[in-house]
Amino acid sequence: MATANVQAYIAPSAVGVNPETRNLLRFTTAGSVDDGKSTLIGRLLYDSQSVYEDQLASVRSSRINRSHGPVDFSLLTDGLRAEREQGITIDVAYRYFSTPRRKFIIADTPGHEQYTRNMATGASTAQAAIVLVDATKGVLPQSRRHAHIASLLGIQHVVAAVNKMDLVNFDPAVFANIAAEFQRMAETLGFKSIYALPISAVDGDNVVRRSARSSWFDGPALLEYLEELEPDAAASHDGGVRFPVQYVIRPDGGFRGFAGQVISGVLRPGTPVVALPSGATTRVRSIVTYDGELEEAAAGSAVTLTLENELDISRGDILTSIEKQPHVSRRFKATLVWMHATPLEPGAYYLLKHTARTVRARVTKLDHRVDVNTFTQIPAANLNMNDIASVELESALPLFFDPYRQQRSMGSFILIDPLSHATVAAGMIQGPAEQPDSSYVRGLETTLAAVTAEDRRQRFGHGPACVWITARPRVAELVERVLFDQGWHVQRIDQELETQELAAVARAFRNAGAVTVFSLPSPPAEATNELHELFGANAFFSSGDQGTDHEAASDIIQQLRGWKELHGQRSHGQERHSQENDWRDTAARKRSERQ
Amino acid sequence: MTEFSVGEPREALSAVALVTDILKEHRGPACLTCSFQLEDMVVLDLLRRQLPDIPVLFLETGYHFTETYAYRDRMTAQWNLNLINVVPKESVASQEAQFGVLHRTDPGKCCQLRKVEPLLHALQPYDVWFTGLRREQSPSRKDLKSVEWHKLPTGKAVLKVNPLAMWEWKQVLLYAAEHHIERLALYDAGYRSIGCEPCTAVPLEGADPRSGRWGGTKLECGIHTFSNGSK
Repeated sequence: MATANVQAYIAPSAVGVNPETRNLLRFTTAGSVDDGKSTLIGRLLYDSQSVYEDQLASVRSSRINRSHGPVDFSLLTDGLRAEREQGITIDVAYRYFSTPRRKFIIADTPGHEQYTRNMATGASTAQAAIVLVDATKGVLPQSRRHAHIASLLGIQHVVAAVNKMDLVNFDPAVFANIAAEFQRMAETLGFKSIYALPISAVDGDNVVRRSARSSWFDGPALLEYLEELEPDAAASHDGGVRFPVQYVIRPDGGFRGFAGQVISGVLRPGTPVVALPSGATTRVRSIVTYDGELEEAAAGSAVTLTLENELDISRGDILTSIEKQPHVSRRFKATLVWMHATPLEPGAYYLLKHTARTVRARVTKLDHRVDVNTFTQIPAANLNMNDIASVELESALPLFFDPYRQQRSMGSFILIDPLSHATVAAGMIQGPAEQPDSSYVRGLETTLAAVTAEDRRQRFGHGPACVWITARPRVAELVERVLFDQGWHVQRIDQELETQELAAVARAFRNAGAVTVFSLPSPPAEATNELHELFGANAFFSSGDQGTDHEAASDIIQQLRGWKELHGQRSHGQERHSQENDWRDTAARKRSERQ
Repeated sequence: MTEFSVGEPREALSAVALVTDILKEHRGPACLTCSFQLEDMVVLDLLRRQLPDIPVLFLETGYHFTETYAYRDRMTAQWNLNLINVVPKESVASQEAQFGVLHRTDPGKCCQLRKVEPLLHALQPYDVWFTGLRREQSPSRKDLKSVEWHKLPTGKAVLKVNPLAMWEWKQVLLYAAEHHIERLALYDAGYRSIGCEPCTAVPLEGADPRSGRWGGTKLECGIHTFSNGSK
């Protein structure tokens, strides 16, 4: 199942909009490896006749046998592995089944404790969370953490499935103790409903049907309970249209479309919209797909829009309704779930992925951390794996967001390590930081330091350099254009200058972090010396006397890209020297290859 | 093998219907050649819904962009692809030691050694060959058919299926966006037809997309011309 379709199917705002989806319940399961989560899901699918015969046959013939039952139900969910691998940042698999009364979608997440992150990301569209508790172990810290994360995610209904009751002989006292402890804990988390029940996933007790072995328990079986649960219609968003632009579609010819997914609201030709950040308003002209136009696009659908006016809109911008616009701010408060073995580096830049845009951002303030045993707030100097904290973040560019409580997709984000590309945290935006702009100015002398060369490097993705292209003005133009289009900070100089002037110009652009392209006749010796002095190994000279303009430009661009690759993302000054040497080797090798 | 009418009624089918039809009627082993350009990803997306394990043949010339390799690996993991890297007889180093830098001196020979010959060999086990070719891509493809017979040097005939033959670039972009297919980052840098790094440039504005290949000196590497529709 393609992730895209899943997302369209389970879009949160579809709830309460379409009567078809009213009878749909999305839930997530959380538990540790040995809690029997896979077995429970397998059992739900099997007992509700959602398993195809061939799947069952392959499970029956499997040589692996992990449980003592005649059929190992956990194997039914192993087919999900491939689906799990689909998402890089969000490895969640969805499982569908239905009963005559309701359709269900399970967001299945791997079980190990360190995969709390999967729960955080997978649960975000769920309406109910099932927390598995092992009857032989009781309520563990991870049960508390799972319940807490479920509440942070805005999931309103929590179920404690006390599993492996067969191993404690269905002792009512064991269940009563665990249920009471879970109840006490979950009560502090603001759920709409809390339900605990005794089950045995392996044997099927109280999963689909009530069990005679627990005749002392008079509550409904798990599936009965899930069929009856009334999910909150308030989960749908009435805050207006949200359409983050994922791609600008510009094939040759006059067509200019904006592709993305409708997060909330309904779009039709003629619907007025405002483009953020520009603030320009226009109307939807048409809704196009690869095989025709649509009259309407509702939340969850992925479409391309054309607009009545030519607006300057790029990837990551957002189209919203004019009436109800999202917050626009560089500074905001959020709840962060840290999910990586490497702790948070306060003040360091991470990549923040939010709707269709990825921007650089850093944690500027750690308000407090949550102790999962007591749910109390404790001061924090740092964040480690599985920590949950309230923080303030600052992004390099403004984000357009709604608080997570109002609109989950518009309020959630992940943080990515810029070097390893690992997902390190999942976040839920609470709202803009207080006094987002004035405090920015007021705190100037204390929190904001002068812009450094390193800051510029971070923003542009490269450090300063100069490129001398002798007597090939078209080549210089092509180089400038291509690099510029790729987001480089690049400036071409084609005015003849005295050596001293030239040095001053070069110094100014170097200090601005730019790649300066000199498009001039061959440099006099003293100018060459000046440039070597200023740029060291980052000075490039091209006689450009080979090949067509295109080839020559292509050559220079390749070299600069290689150079940028080695230098661009580096953030630790001490590595500079060795990398420059490496680059010289690479450049020398490339040159010799070409000769 | 059943003889199969090639040409007319097939041309009228949508890409989805064509793929379904071919996979239903033609039971022999099928593959896709894939350079991880957007067209290939669209065809792959159509195919993987019905044949998640379809062999995906990537001509691993050793000269691709770093970005292409990274994207190949990412998508292979994300879509759980059955990727087959089709490698030439000689490594880049060994070829350059023997012949020098062929992509500069004789790009035709370079393509022959690193793409055409390895592919001819790799196609041998298959009866059906899917591609992402489109008519619009270049003048050399303007008469492309949705379904064609291709004869391999061994004499074996392979059914070559080009589901996007009639598609415009716009449809490719729209399909990819609607289906959340992430695209190779090089497109955002202005590239339109992406092959080996030394022989790929950004086309000039208004020029046809494949004019950026081989410095404009040729349009085809040879893998789509070697058998030339012969019966």
